[in-house]
Amino acid sequence: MSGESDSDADRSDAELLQAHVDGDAEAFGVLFGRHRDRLWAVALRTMGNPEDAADGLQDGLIAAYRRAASFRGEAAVTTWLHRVVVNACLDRIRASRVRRTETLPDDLEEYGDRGSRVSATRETEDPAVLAVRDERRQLVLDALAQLPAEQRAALVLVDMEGYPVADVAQMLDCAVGTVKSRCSRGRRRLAELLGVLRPGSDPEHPGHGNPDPPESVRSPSASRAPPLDG
Amino acid sequence: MSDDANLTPEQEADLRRLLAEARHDDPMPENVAARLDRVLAQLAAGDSELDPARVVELASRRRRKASTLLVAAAAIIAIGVGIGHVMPIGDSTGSDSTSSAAADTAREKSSAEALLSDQAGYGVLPQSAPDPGSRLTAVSSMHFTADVRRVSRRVVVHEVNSSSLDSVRGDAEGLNGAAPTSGDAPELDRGGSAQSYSSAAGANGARAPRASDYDCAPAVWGPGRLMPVMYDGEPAVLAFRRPTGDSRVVDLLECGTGDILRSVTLPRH
Repeated sequence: MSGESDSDADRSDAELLQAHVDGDAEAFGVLFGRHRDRLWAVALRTMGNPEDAADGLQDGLIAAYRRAASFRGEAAVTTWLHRVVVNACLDRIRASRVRRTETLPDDLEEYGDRGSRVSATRETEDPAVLAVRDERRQLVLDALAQLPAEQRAALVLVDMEGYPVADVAQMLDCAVGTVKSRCSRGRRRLAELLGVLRPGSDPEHPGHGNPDPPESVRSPSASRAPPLDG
Repeated sequence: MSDDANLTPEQEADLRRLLAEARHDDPMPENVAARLDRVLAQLAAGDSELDPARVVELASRRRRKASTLLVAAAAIIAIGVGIGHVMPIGDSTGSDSTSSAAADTAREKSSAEALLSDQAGYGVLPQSAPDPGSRLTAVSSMHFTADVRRVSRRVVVHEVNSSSLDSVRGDAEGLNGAAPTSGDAPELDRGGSAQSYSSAAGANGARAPRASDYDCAPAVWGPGRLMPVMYDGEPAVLAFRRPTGDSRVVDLLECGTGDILRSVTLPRH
């Protein structure tokens, strides 16, 4: 799936998709292999845990394979692939009607030591810095998991993956204004969850610091302390 | 007024930076890639049956009627071993756990021997077929991951090292090895855990499925540990694939075709 020959490398995404529609048995695998890591990342962040992400991505893979002929070339192939996968993930979330709030850190625990890009650079960094960064990342993911799925998907695509809002609108099959609105609401909610709006909060350490103390409770009985002078 | 009226540009920039830092940059895990490779291979092979929507349609599908020894073998293995260990056994108590364990071993062995001695009896249930009243594990499409996770912790099933259940018939050591002795295998609980398992099995339906409900046509299941289950009331097979790193894939396979109906990736226990 990930292997790509020299001849495959010369073919564009659109050419591979068309070749698949025309009956090339290998073309779709090459195309999916090109984008699978980013599609995995989007599925993982949208679903919140690796098990459901794999299910959602598999649904998307099957749907894209079978609906390839419906691709009209109005958007980039990668945009279309993202659209199919994100919709498959959102469909799963809607179908299960389960709001996951506790499982996002799973991927950090189970897969955090894999891959080359992150681990290759981490070895040279200060462990204390890495610890703070991991903790901050987990806080963000925990907060993200509490958002409605549509807001989460918009933030994943726009702020995490960095896709243009217009592309994300195509991926999510909605208007540009809807994407902006979902992002705004999502950021606002995240700010609340992370304590960014708290006076004096440190954006480098969201969610840190002691919570505001509760109001003191007045004793129902009379005070036994000596009366105050004056 | 917009929802983010209270967010200053600096706060919004901070949030966007935090989100960007939380981006997932690692490549797709190998076990997920391998799973999707299998799906692609099925699609390329023209498997018109492979359809994610079928997950919810399964309950309405016609039950496949062909009964076979080979799938009964999987039932015997899991029921003979799993039920024997997980479900309460007779009136045994903690004080006679040793004799109970010995009885379990004998029961497993007799099941294995019955299978192995029935080389010519393809399609014939061995004498040690499971008690039709024994309870089967129920898996629900609505709680698939949770159900499989629970099962993976408590039930040991037979590991098949080839691509077909045919090999079960000639794998005496493997069958006997289905007993929960492997360090790789999850530990089986007795007593209270058995009670909870029994309750869980029946939690999704009006009654816990029975072994007599299990009627599953043969197929190529692929390597891994196999376990017969009732999926939304229909017979199916759970295949616990070999662990890759710190995780393993569990596929739910359709009787008769071996098609993957659902899959989950679980941490290796």
